[in-house]
Amino acid sequence: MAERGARLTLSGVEKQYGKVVALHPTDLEIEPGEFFSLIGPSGSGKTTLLGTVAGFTPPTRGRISVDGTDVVAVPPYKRNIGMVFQNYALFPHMNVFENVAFPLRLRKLPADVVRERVESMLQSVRLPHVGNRMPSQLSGGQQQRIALARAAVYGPRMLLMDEPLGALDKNLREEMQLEIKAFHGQVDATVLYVTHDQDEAATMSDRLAIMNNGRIVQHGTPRELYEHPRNAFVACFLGRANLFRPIDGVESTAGGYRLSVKDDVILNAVSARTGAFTEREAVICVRPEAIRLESPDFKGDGNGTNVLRGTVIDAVYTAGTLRYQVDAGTGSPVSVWLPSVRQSEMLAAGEPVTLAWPANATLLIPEE
Amino acid sequence: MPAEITMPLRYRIFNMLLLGVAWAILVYLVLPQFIILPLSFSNQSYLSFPPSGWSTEWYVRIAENPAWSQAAWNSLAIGIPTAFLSMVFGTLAALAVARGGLGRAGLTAAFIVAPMMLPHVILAIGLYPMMLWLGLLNSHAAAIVGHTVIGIPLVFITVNAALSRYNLALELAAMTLGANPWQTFWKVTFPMIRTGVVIGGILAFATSFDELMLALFLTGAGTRTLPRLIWEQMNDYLTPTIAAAATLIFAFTLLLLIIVSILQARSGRVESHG
Amino acid sequence: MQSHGATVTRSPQEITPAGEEIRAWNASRLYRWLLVAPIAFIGLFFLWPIMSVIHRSFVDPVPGLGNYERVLFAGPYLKSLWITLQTAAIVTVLCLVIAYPVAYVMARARGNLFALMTAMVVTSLWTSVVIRSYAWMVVFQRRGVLNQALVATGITEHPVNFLPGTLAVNVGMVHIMLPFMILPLLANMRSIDRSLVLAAGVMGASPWAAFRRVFLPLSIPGISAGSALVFMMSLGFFITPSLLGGPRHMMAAVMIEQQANRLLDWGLAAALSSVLLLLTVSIYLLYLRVVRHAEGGFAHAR
Repeated sequence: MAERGARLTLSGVEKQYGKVVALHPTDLEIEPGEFFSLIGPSGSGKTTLLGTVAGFTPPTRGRISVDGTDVVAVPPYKRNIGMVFQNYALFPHMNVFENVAFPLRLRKLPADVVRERVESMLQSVRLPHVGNRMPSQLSGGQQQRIALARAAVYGPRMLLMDEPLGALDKNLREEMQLEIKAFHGQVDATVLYVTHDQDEAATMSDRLAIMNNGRIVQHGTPRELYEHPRNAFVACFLGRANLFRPIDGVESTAGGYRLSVKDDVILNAVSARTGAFTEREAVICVRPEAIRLESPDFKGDGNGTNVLRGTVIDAVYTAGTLRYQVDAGTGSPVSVWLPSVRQSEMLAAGEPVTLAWPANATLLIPEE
Repeated sequence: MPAEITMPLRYRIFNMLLLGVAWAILVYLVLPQFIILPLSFSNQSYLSFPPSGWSTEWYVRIAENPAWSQAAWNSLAIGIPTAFLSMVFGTLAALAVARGGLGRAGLTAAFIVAPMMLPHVILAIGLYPMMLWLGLLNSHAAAIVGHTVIGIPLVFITVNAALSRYNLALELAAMTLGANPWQTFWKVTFPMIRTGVVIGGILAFATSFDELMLALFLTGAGTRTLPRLIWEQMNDYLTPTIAAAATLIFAFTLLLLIIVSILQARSGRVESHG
Repeated sequence: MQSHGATVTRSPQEITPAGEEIRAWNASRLYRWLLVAPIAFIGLFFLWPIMSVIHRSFVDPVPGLGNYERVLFAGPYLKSLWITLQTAAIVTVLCLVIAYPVAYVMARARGNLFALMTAMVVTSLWTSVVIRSYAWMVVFQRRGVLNQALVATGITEHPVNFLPGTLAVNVGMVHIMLPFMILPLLANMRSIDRSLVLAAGVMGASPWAAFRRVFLPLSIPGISAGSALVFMMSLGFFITPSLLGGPRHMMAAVMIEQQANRLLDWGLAAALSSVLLLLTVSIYLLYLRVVRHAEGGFAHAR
């Protein structure tokens, strides 16, 4: 049981710089062994939140506890938390071995134990032969693995990662995502991971929290957040979303809601939330991959399928997907993503199309 | 540069003129120092240039006169502790200003740098009665204190620059890995800023080595420094002995300068890797 | 934002009381303690002596404004302050005019050429001021290099008495101050994006117009920083005016040293110092503003 990761509990954690609020009072509970990500645009407070947990951003108010023990007054060097930094923060004046051995030497472990642990750690990040090199002689991906090894070598039960893959190129980043994920399985620590890349967060995390303007807007599993965003910000931040604004009021029906987005077009929608919506605060969110193309004479199938007619204004092929921009007279163009294997021909700009998608893929959500 | 090929002739002539003027001024900058060199080997007792014959008489005179070696010793006995104290105080101040999150960091920095900027004569007539009262007048200690005050800003500036050149995350990383502030400083921060500290210390030493005003007020006949001795000699008689002493000091300063540039080049290399 | 699941946002008044009792560990606070020793040292051996000089100017030998009356109305003191200001201004302008083309050429230089040019400037800066002033004495003296050249070329029939004199002081001080003008100008000019000047050329500006309309305005931070620095240092200059200037060109620092060290008139020396201090501090404050505009000040405060 002791080898499992730590339970992290934040209650009312708040950070102000003078009158600027970097983090509004925030509560959060992360389960032992969980891979939890914080995502959000820059300046959303995710790095501040991470800093309070690491111990170098003193919170203005609130409590942070690890396994039930309050750590706010505990300096970072006594928290026994491992951290991986954006630019790796490997000590340039020490070789790789000394970098990884650094936390062990501070803990005054005997030399043979240090050697053994460092070597086995370098083994598990698959870089067993670089001990004598200087960090500057390694590639970005290799430096990242050494940083990971250094943060985990002393067996911290909690690992913090601050955009660790931010400096790597796309392919390497995807490779490292899987590697970090596998590493997480090996070391069995709780991971709190900060990134601004939503794909990365969705790929790696058990749960994630989306932050904006110094607050956690929503948290849950990637799927929950994608399929049930609580507002337009979450919907747009995680994946791509088509947002429609109702032009009249929202009418409540037996199975959901009915509303109009343009003259003569009524859409059926569902919502995670119960109660009345007004057109002022509500928007409809439809994912581009939920929409399919139908023949021009398609009138609906009686199951509440929504139908919208329009004209293709742009068509792009990207890696297995056809991406259309369709002008349906609803304000901004509608994005439609179709797997290219199901479509033999690509429609050209100017061609008329009929868009259709099921009512249960039509989410009515608050704007804010 | 393609832009220069298409330039009209008059601009190309102007550019060449500009280059000529710049080189002339640069030569003017270093020339006076080199007038002294041949003078110090002159065989005449008055200053004629160029000398009509050569001798090493003036260097022999310096070697034979205990006043010169005494002054050189005093300069070192004041300059080295000055460099050390400046390094300690300047580094502490730079760390506090760069890492302390002070609301008025700019003002604090301006206060620390002020002694370098304000006329030394004011500091000298202020320190004189104070040292008299403390019974330190004409001691090495008095000059060390005065020179440290003007040496601290030099270390402060170089260390501040060194601190801003490397990633703060290195210190944070050390702390998360279990290093307390003391260990973090000695194992991570200091190795990173060491060159800045040493260069600042050499600058402080060089300043002390060249300083005259505080030396005039705070040192005595037994503790006078090289600049003060040269000064006293200059007011009495202009002989090539001074040129010989100046040449020796100039050579020593050049040596320090070369050490500094080597250190700078090396730290630049480390940074580009790090 | 309403609460959802475990995420709750509350107004600050409702914070858990326990959170306020615990003092969070704070690295910045530790760092701030490091300031105690240097501030104490500078306070004791810089601020205190300067304060005592100002105090002395009002009480020595008798309390009152007597020393300042003498500075203003008696003897050569006011004239010496005026000469000081005048010399500082002339030296600053000359330095700027001479340093600007040098910095301009240096800012374009690359590689070994740039290293050589920088080495020349820095060597000059590092050479003892006493030694450099001595070198100028050798140049300007009656049987010196300059007079030999003048007589040999027939410009003058007899050697000219340059020493002591204003010309010698100005030439010597410009020479000593020049690096302090070149280096700020160079730092500024190297940060100017030359493609802006090229862009102006592409848009049809002649090289002269591109320089005057684009480069010159962008170099103003360097001009003001260098000028303030040179002016400020010139105000307190002692060695060169003392050696080359003589009684007819007595600058404030020389006057103060003479009053205190030789004539033992400490009250008057203190009053002169206070006036000089006031002048320098004004320029220093101006300089700090300029430097802050140009490069964010000394401190890299976060």
